[in-house]
Amino acid sequence: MASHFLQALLFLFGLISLIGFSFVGQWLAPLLPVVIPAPLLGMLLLFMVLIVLGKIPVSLELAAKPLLAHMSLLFIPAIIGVWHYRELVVKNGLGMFLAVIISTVILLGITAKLADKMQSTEHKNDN
Amino acid sequence: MTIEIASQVVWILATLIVYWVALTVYRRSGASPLLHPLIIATVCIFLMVSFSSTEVTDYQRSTFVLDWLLGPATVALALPLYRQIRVVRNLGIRVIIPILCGGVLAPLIAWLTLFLLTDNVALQMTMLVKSITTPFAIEVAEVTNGIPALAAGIVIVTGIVGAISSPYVFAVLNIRSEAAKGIALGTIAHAIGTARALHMGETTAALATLALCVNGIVTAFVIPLLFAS
Repeated sequence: MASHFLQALLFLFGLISLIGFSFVGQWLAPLLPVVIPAPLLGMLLLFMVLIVLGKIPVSLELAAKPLLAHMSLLFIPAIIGVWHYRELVVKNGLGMFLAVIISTVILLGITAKLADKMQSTEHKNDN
Repeated sequence: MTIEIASQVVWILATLIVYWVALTVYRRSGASPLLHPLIIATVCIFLMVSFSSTEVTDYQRSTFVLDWLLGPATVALALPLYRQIRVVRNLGIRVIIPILCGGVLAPLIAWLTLFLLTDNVALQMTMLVKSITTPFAIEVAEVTNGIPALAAGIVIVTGIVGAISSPYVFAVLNIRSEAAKGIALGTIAHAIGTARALHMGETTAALATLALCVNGIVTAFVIPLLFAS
């Protein structure tokens, strides 16, 4: 029972920390001379803190787990917004679909081939 | 005011339930990319919104908490990134080069195709974020005058196309290296590709996660620098 309470406290502390980094990112991003998306800045700040700490605190681990595992849920309100652009999508749907398919299949091939080549040179150097 | 709160509770609950059902269907199907929970969930929610004659804008206003949580969730990506440091140290430049090449060429070719087929600049800007993970794609589309909602949709379709076509692409090109498959899937097909890589083995999955992180961060930095207005 006590351990559940402790876990809940740690989770809450982790969640508040994540929200805190998110706020700091939002506050800092407009002050920088370059354009950086605010949540990305918050993530990089936390990343630097983790490097300094040298480990991931349990509280952050607990709070991050459900957020990362169920991130898809958080996209639903955004994706529903495609409805506002239905005319644009209907008009350019084929072009968009072709652009996605062509670039994805070709680049999957190019990236895999390049990575494959670089892996095999690595093995040659090892020998 | 009371109606506002009631509609928030109802729509958030509805979204949670629909998501849970979609996730169950996806898992039962053996994680088929075509049945990605976001596709099922979005279609169901859309039908519910239409049949209850709710405005899409009202639905979005009622569920703003979910949208808001995306900020802290994106910050939480620092954890998987931190876990990848050792992998980068061990493999170094041999992994980074293909990730960067794929990360630069994928949006470029997608943009070029769209540039030839349409004349809509907002769409072309949106296409630039197609290969990076959804939270970054939404943010980047926002600062470059793209369309965040469409960015999310395009990213999902890219992931699904990548996950489905990958076994054939790898077979045709005779790609044997587990690492190479992972790098390609993570760079081009982000989280959905990484989910596919999980079925191909541990090395593939680890490198897909790494590629997803590196490409996401680099693209999310570079595109706003070049195109933010």
